[in-house]
Amino acid sequence: MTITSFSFAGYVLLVLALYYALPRRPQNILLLVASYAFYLTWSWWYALVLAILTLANFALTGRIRAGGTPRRAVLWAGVGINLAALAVFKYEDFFVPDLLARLDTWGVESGAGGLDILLPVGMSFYIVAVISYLVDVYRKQVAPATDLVDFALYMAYFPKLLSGPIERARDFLPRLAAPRVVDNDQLARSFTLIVLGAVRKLVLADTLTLMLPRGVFGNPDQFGAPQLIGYLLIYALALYNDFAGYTNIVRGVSGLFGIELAANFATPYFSRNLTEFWNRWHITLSHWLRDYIYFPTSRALLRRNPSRTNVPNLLLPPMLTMLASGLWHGPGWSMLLWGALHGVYLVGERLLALWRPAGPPQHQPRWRQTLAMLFVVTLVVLAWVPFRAPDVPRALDYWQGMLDFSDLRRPTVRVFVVILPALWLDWVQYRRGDELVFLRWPRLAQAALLALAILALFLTSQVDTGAPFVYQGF
Amino acid sequence: MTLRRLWRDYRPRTLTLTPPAGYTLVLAALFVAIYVLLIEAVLRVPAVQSRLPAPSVGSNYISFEIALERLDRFASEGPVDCVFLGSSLVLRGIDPAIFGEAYAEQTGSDGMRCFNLGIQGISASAASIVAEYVVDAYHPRLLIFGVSPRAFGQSMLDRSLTSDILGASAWARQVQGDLNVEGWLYRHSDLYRYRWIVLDWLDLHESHEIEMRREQEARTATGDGFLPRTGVLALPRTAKEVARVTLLFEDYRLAPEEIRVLEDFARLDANTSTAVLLLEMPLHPDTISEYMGEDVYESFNATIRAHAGSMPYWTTTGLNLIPDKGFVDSNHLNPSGSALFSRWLGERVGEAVEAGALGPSQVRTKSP
Repeated sequence: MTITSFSFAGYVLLVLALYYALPRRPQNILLLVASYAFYLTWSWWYALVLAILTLANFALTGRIRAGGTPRRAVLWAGVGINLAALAVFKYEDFFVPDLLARLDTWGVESGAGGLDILLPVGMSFYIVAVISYLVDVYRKQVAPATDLVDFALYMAYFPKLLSGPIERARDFLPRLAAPRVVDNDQLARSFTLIVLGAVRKLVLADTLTLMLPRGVFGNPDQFGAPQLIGYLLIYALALYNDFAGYTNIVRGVSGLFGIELAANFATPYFSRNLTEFWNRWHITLSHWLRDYIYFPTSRALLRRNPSRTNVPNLLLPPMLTMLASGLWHGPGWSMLLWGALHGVYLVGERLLALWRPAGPPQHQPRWRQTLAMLFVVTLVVLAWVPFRAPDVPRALDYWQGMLDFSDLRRPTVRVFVVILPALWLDWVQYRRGDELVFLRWPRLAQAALLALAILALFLTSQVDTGAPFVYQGF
Repeated sequence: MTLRRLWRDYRPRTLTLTPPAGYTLVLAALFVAIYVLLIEAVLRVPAVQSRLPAPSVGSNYISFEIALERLDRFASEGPVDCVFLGSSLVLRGIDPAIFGEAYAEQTGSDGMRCFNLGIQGISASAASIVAEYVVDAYHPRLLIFGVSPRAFGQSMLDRSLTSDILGASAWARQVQGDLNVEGWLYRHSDLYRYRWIVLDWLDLHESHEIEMRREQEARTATGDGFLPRTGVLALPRTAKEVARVTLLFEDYRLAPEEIRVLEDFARLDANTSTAVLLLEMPLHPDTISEYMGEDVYESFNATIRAHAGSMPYWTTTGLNLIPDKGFVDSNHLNPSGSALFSRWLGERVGEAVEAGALGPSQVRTKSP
């Protein structure tokens, strides 16, 4: 059941009808049952893995709370179990074939192929969420959940199960314990998020994705430089609208249950430096990486040498963080290259800040802000090449092709029919600093825009990309 | 105990809406209606229509959709007295203007206003669906179905627009009496029909070629649907033509499901005010002797005649109406061939109508 399907809409309405009729406590039970039922529509196997990991993590945090066994050992055991699960399901394709090949070269008979295990949808998201929970319990930043239903719901809550947002337990568990109210304002916010998300995903992202010729990232040598540049820009917008659209929809759906989910995007292509970009792009993952990799690494290094200009202090935290980000997105050298590239960007930015310290970007002249935005967008878009390319050599070919202007074919200018509304949407949100800026419009303008969105959705409702949400694949 | 406590605490308070709720939604619905009406109105302006490519009825068969759109425009300018339905043999082979003149001369009447609804690669079964639509929507006095071995042959089915393909569309289901919302929209909403065109225009589905063809065919066709093709059949045939005609007629077998649809045509002939005439589209005489075989050809004609019921079936190949230079290939006529054939057909139809042998079956009095 995909979240843009009519069956999902019907399912949500059914669960809501029951949910609104129940008091808070049974509401959580209902949500848990509904979440597992939703996951079962994908695979019973996925639900079983989730249930096992939920019980294991609940037991482990119980041990951390109880004391007795060294807490640190329990923490590492918990982190190890979760990472091992992720390694088995997500990365076996990456390391097992290499391992088998190496064994073969050593003369060890290894048999053919890998383990051929399917990654449960959403696993990358709930694993990092639960790791943060274990660490926070260990650090005593959050009280361990004593209620299995609430904890299981934290892991399995269906609006965020497939692709996040990656919620922290310290934010999410209190919301489960609090009474929920869905009043007119909440309903309007939720509905607006759902419509915005549907437009971003179905009208903008899917249409832009279809405008990309098949094989442009696989066979870049068949395209001219203007085409490669144009298609890369289209991909950048499609990817953003795909994931931002997904997040908007699930946040809207969750809002109907009176449970707020964290925002994941804040007009990232208007960022004025790379640090700002990572505070605007996939925010819940960025902040997770910051809190559980970047800060601990920085602190550990600073304890050894407190100088900010010390080379390892400058290099290691951003590089490790972004390499981990690359690895989280997928097993493959091209993802690692994407992560490394962003690590280099961040290191460069830190060096620049040391050399010529500048104030906050918002205090700089408008023209400098605009130039900085263009510069950041260029760097980010260039980095999407290895993110999307099937392997590193073809990513390199793509970059090389972007410099070869012997073939001047370009994408059709009709792409602007989709690109301009996409940019407008972000511009309006960016200018007001509010993703729900439309709710502040006069009612007539709101209705006129909503009607346009409905028509656009209707127009593109038959566009079948056959493609799920991009981030579902991670 | 727990249940009792749950019941005691039962106070569902999550949803707390206060009026007016949903006012914006109601306004938005109003705006949707206004937008739709505006777009429908604009799409119906002839000046706008003439600049747009043919709309889609979701059949995924461009030739058919272009033909349908041309017929619609033709019908908007006057009555549709007769329709020539069939494959490319009809499309290239019958000029409605010449037919109308010949008919008028023969009968001394004002003539007939006819449309050529030839659709490339259409099989008999798909043609029966189109016939049903044409009769229902335009009520022509005469429907001439151009019969050819290709339209009924087994071997070419996978390269044809068959009822399996056309019948799967919501439009066709609606035509066949299976009422559905999408089919209704295809028949009554220009916005709905043009939705696909917008997506094609955006080059989704890598459809740039489709769009080019749409535009090209729309430009070259005449107002009455006739799409002539110039050239003369080279004799002896080129290797390419030999391969083509061999593919058509080698091991020729009739497809039973295609033959059966003649009953649908017969039903139209019997139950509506439209007379249906089955007309064999002429083949180059060598084609039968050298490729199809006389026996197979005779058997083909006998089968058609047997299933035609009360509908007249006119064979033409044996009449040697068309000289060699009137063919563009083994089974398609060129403009000179089509002129000869259309004139002959106009005169014969005129004669038959005057003799009372061709008209609605309810008033038909004589056999031809």
